[in-house]
Amino acid sequence: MILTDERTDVAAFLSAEECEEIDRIKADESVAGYALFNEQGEILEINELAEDIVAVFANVFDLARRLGKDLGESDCFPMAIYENRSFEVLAIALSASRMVVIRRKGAKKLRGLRSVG
Amino acid sequence: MSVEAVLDKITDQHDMLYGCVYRTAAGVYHNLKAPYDLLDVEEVTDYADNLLSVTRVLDDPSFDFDSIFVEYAAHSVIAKSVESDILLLLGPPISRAGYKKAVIGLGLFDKPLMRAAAKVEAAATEAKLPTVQSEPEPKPVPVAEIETVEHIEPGPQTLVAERDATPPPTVLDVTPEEIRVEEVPVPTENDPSEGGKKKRRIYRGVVFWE
Repeated sequence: MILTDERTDVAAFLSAEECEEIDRIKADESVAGYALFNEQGEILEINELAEDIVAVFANVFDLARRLGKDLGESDCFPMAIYENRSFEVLAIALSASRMVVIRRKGAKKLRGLRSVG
Repeated sequence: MSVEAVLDKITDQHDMLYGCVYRTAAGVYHNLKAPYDLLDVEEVTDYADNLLSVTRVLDDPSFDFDSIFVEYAAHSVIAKSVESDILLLLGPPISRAGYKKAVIGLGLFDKPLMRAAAKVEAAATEAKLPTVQSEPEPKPVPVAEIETVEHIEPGPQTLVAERDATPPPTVLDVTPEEIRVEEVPVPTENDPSEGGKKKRRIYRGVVFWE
């Protein structure tokens, strides 16, 4: 996926529930970076820390979707969690957009993410 | 222990799992049961491998991940790198706590998996090698079959050695005193009495015609 920097109206791509959840994520102290983009790869919202790595994680959605197809998950909204000693990266497929959240380890856990997907 | 047996142990430990897939450079092993045994395990592990390696382009060790968890509506997949191999755990959707529980202790199976796969691959390599046939030992030739030269007709040859029981001496070993020179009459075709004479030198039982 090639991300483009066309800022569009975020609300048009999010449900009310998703908006609420994203606000909570953004307010979380453990979140080092986040990016929100639509299915065409247009960035809707991004913070500085995520700019360098978000393009890489954006590819996770395509790969996860292909893997899901093999498992019979034709219309899936996968959530992928990458975890190591320093970071936890979550790639969450929302209803009409995608989000990548980079969380520093050792900080308080993110809550309620399962309810988004 | 076979690779499949190690995979069975992992599945036994996490009884919610549908099964596991283990991919090495040489092959893919799995213990998936119906309906998942129909999965294209090669393709599935390729996607998992790509998911795991996608962050390597960042060239930043803090973004190197050796395990990932992907959750779908009806499935969850845990992919873990085992050195250069990949282990895939397939199960129903599990919570993040369930994922963490599944990952804890998973590393204990790394070595048994690698050992089992190495054993299988070594056996396969051995089976592919052409069998080395030992060279047949040379058959001893019966003494009776060895041709011995009884007599050499004097003729055009100028210097022919007649084999004796003793091995021929080397030239350097011979002293002039040991050499005996003889002249032998050579019969001609028309008149045997008119034949010329041929010289021969004999030393140590070896005859040389001149």
